[in-house]
Amino acid sequence: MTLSRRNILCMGGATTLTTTPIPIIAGASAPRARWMGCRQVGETHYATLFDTAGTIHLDVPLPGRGHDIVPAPDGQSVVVMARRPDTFALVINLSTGETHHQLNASPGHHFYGHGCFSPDGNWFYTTENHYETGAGVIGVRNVAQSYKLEGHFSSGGIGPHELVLMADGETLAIANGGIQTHPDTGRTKLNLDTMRPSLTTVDRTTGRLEAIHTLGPEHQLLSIRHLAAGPQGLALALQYEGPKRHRAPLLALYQNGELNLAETPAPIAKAMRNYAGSVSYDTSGELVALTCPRGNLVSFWSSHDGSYLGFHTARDVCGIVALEQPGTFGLTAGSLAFQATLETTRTSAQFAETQWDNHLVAIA
Amino acid sequence: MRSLKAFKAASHQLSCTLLGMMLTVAPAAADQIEGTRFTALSTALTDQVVLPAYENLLDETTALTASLGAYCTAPSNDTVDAVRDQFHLTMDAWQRAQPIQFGPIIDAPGPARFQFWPDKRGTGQRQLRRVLTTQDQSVLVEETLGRKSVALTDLQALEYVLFETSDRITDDDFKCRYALAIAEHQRVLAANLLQAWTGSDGYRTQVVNAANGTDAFFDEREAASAFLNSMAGAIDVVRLQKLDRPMGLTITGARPKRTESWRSARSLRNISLNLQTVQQFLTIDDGFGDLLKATGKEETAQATNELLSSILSDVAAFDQPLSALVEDADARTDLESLLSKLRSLQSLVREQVAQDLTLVPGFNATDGD
Repeated sequence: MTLSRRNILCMGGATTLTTTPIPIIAGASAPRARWMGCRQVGETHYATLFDTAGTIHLDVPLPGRGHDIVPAPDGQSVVVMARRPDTFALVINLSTGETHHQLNASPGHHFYGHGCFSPDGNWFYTTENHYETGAGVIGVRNVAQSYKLEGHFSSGGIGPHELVLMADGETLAIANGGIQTHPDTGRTKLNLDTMRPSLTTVDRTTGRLEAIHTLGPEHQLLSIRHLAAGPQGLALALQYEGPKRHRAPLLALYQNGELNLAETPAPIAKAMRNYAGSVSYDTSGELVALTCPRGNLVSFWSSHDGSYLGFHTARDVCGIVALEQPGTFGLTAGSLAFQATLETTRTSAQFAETQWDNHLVAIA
Repeated sequence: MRSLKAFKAASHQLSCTLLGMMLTVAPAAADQIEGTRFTALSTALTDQVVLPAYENLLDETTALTASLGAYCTAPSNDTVDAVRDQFHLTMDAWQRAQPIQFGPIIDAPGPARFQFWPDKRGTGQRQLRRVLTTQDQSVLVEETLGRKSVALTDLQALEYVLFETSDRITDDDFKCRYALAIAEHQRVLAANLLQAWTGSDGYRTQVVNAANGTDAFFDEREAASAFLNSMAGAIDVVRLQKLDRPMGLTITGARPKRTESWRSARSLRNISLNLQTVQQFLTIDDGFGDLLKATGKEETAQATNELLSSILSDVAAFDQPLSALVEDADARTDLESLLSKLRSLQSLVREQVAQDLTLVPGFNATDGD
């Protein structure tokens, strides 16, 4: 392990506490887990591997703001995806921090910020926008050949965002947000009148579209953005694009071939502010946690029936990952990394001048 | 429901070293300002700044239409000055309203329908010259003019017609009628804009009832944020588009024709008017200044006010048009000092005021990711 320059700077920095006294709650101390997420420090973007004691193991500068980080199945490397509508992705060696490959979206395409590997690690799939036609596509890359692009297949919708491999190892589940954008107009939404979000399933080998699931015509303004795979199905994180007087449910569960919105009590619907940023199952698969950075909270739900269980507040919380112990999650919020169960929270570490980005992954 | 206060991961600065196990961070100041204060702020800004600004814009465009109507019927050398004076009053009204950067003004085609500037590729001016050369009659009728590019229907186009080339548009019936058509179009736009705010279920209703959730706002904090962002955005426009861009990196890179309204020699007047509206946001009763004071942040209110007053005096002290100043070596230091003050003002508003009022947008709050 090498001590990064940033870590040295941090250790030299003064500690300034600027808030009211800190209450201490009881909880067992956890072994150091290693997490990786993108962050902004000042004006610079990094992909950062750190542990729950606050030690930074890798701090890789990025050409722009990053989004998801995708660990390769062999545990040796990760792919850091650019935030949409950017076009880069970096393959980073976890031992050395070196960038092995820089991938670029092919002409006429940009990345949407997420990717996933085949179970054997031979193929890498990315959600992309073919922006002249507005078609959502999945890029297929051959890992052994320096991630060479082999081709694209349709995502089955517009604006594919996160994609995950389902438990069978063969089917890709894709969250098609339904929102069309074009690089010329940045992040401006071009089709809110006609948006049709969907969850599609696609055979990763043939590219064949197997099913298109929607939330129904009355929920066309609920964009499906993020996904997590659990033992029984999928959890979907949503964002609402309609009139702000409405408070929308933001969690949907896909189980036994059916897609259903979680029943969401009005007070939590209001507190979540119509926007979920990330979603995760715990390792037991019993619990789903949904982060809501606009509402500054993480909410908990039963994976069986989608019933609402509770929430904790944390300013600008978004990154979330399941920890080994059932019921436990790792999270990032603002400059902070912390752990939470339904009952407890425990701050792990705070990082100077840092703004943690949307997503977090566990690294063995 | 689990208590909101069960846990609050605050945003204060700590070093990145270990905090210690089993720590939970205390609730941050966020959400401790009562919602009614934000509602009072948004209501005051709407009724005392936004609506008067848009009413004034309607009044002045109406007067401009009358002035041009009279002039084009009976042209004389006396009235060309009157028309130009009324153009200035109309542009004054628009520049006062320009810092309002949300609500119906954003509806397509956006603020450019009043003023398409900067015209970075010169496309607007090319179209305008073509219309004047070919005497394209379709610009003389509101029905057809209203469907044309904003570059042919805005206050920049009117400035071009009234101030470019000679002082004698008197002799040119086409120009006169075109100018009148633009003025009339602007009057219609101003009337529609005001109506969009004040009509039944108009935008004013959306703002003042934000606490209950409206189509435009999730709650009263979001409405207050719209005003704050507007203020910060207006300072950005002044600094970057109106000053920095024509100044260039060094004096050799200065571009006088990149200054706003250089034909009518009113670049600095525009800047003053923009900043006076920002000042109103801060100083009216129940405005941002009062809200800061009421929440114990008097120093921020005072610092912001003093800096803004100082910037306004600096702008008023220049005795040449900005198009001349950007190429004047003697003025360079003063302009650079103005830029740097504007930069400080911007960070005061965007960072300090936002933080004091707990209106800082979260890093992960951008939609779509």
